[in-house]
Amino acid sequence: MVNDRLSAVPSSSQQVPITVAVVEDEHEVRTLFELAVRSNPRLSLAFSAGTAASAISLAGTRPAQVYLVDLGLPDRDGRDLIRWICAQQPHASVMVVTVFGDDSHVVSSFEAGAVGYLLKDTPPDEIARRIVDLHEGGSPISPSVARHLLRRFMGRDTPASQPIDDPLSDREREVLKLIEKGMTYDEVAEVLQISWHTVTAFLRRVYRKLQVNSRSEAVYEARQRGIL
Amino acid sequence: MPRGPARGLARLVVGPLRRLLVGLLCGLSCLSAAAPPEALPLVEISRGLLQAEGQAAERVELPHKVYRPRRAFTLYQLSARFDAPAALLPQRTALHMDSWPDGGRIVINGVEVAQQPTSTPDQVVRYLRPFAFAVPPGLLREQGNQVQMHWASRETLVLVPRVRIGPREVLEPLHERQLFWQLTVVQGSMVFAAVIGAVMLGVWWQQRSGPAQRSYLLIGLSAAGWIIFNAMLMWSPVSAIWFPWRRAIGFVGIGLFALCMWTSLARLAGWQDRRFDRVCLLWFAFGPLSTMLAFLITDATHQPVLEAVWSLGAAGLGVVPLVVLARAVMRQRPGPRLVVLMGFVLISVGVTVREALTYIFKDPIGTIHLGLQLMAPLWLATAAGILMQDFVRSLREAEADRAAVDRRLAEREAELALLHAREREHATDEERHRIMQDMHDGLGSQLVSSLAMAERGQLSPQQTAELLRACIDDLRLAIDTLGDGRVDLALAAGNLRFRMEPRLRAAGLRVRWDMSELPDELSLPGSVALPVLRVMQEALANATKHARATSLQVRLACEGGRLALDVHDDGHGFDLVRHAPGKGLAGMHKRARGLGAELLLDSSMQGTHVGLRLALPASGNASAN
Repeated sequence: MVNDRLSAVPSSSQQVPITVAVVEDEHEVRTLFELAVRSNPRLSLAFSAGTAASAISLAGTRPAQVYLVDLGLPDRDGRDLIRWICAQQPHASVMVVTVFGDDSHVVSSFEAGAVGYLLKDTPPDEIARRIVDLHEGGSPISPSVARHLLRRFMGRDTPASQPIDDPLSDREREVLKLIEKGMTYDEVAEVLQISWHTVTAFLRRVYRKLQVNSRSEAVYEARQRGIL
Repeated sequence: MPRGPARGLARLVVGPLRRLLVGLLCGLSCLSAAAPPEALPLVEISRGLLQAEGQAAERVELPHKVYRPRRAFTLYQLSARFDAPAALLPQRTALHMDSWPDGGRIVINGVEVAQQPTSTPDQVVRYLRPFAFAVPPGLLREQGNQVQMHWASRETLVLVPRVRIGPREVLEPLHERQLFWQLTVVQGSMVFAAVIGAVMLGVWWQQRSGPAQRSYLLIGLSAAGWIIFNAMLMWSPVSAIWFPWRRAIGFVGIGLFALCMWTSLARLAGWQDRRFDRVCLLWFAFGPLSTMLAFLITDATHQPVLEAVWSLGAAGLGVVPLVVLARAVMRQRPGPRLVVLMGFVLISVGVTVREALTYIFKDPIGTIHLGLQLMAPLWLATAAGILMQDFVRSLREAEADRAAVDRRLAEREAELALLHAREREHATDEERHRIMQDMHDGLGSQLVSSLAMAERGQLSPQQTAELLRACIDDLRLAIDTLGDGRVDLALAAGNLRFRMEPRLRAAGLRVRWDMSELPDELSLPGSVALPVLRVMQEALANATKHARATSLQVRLACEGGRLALDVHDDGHGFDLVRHAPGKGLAGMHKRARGLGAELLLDSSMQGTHVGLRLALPASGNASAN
């Protein structure tokens, strides 16, 4: 059960707040997110920035554990920032902030290294809850994102006939298929007789494989085009 | 004489070629020069004393034919005397016979000049060719030369040939010429028949299913018959047991040749009749049968008569294609094909009648049926030429047909492409229309009414947020159902749940989500899926806002071609008439009406049920990939 799981969170983690950075150019939305972080005792705001450049400079001095990144930044593509964060601070988790949560944006962010996504109209307390969840390993994805991931790994959407370096395991595929059918993490955990944490761990592995595969795909494509 | 296989082969090839050349030259010279002049020192032995074993000697004119009532092994001897012209004595001399069917020995003045195996009690020989031998110099005297011929025969018909003795320079060309006509021509016609027959039978075998291809079979059989006939003529020596068979198979051959020729000639002239085919078949069978019966029953006594009857009949059947052709010529303006066929049939009927008459009035022994030998290749060449012409014409027709089919196919493809383009255009138009309609009815009107309420200052911040959220929900749903015009219902419903999940959880609702009775990938047109999802979204939103429920059951199912949506909550319900929660219910009714679906609403203190029943279009029922 949802509530059981939340109460099962160890009390010691509540004492050390999770540091969060917000990178969003729209002032209202940024303020809303700042508010959501500040109003939750388990979270603390590392910094908030309106451009990728200021985010990069601030991240050097005040690194965060969770980054909320908008894709439509004025100076750079949000995915570039995600890649930079993943390269510089591999222990940090990146969450994409998007208006519609459409498959192509979400999946390309996962390829860049994000591990979760957040809709901009999410209510403040839900925002805080998602950040905590993400830090603890999980961030739910919609059925259509799950389907997109499955198709990616089935090789349908890969460019040319680039073989997938690291295909999905049976279990990972099973998890994605259940999510695709509209199940929540808790229901997936129940069906597969595993814990909520195991479900999120499977998904994290899927994201990492996606990232690795997309990187090798990029190299492959670059080779094909004669860039490398 | 040393004999190696290579040498034998060389002889086989060079011999006929040389004879062909010499024969042609001789033929030409014969045309220019008349018969050999009288002055030549040539002896013709045209009279002699014939002595058959156990019978009295008789004086005979040569060539002489012996008719015997029955087959019996008999030794023969012919003796003659002749004087040689003085001019001949110093010359190189040769002995020549036009034919020598039984072989034997020829002795002049006590010296054996010629020797050729003759029949024995177990074996029959038949030579169908001329013979020439050298006469040793100094053997001949001016007067009182003695010539003796010894041979044996088992058959009823025996030929005693006329013997010529003369200068080699005269007899050798004569011999070469006869050899050409009687041996080389036969061999050549066999090779020709083999080639034509192989081609015809090959074509027939490849296309044997079509009835029109029967002509190829008949001409092929005709060629095969010709080869059999000639092979039998050349088969010598024959063991005595096989001799009747040799004759019978010979008739099989000539019968096949002639009767297949008649029937296929009729076919080539465009006439076909089963009765004629049957008569030909019967007559064909009658030939070898009568021969065998003559041998078995009467010991060949009546054989010549039977053979003559059969030959005349076989020739007479040729009248049928002749009549057919004549009618064809009279009915239509004769093309070159008919003229060629007509000419050929006239020739061939003439030749066959002549061959048949030969059987009756002359003795056939020792002849190779030269008329037939010339007619057969002519017939085969004519038939093959006509069929090849047909074949080429049908090839051209097939090519033209294929071109026409290709053209029609290309036209059809172009039409289809145009149709598809129009369909795509139409689908895009439809989709655009649907989205416009949806914006107008849904998001547009919601925004307008929200704006109006806000301007009148009727909205609390919480209500404003709620209204805007509803607008965003609507927008999300619209985006979810965009695409190629078809929507995977389970997936879109799952997305809806995923979006509503925080609100459902915040409302403390325990959700039972049941899509188990939905096909794996039920895809519906956007115009159907969107209203269904709107009803679902509305029901979920109502449950979170008004019901104060603790559990919510959402079910989508396909039941006998109908789509069923059910949303149950265990809340306190609301009065459907008085407390209708805002525009929600009205919207649901409107969407159900638009779909032609049945909306079920039931609310009590035990909870609320929103249901939708929709007959699925037959194509929408099928799961897409």
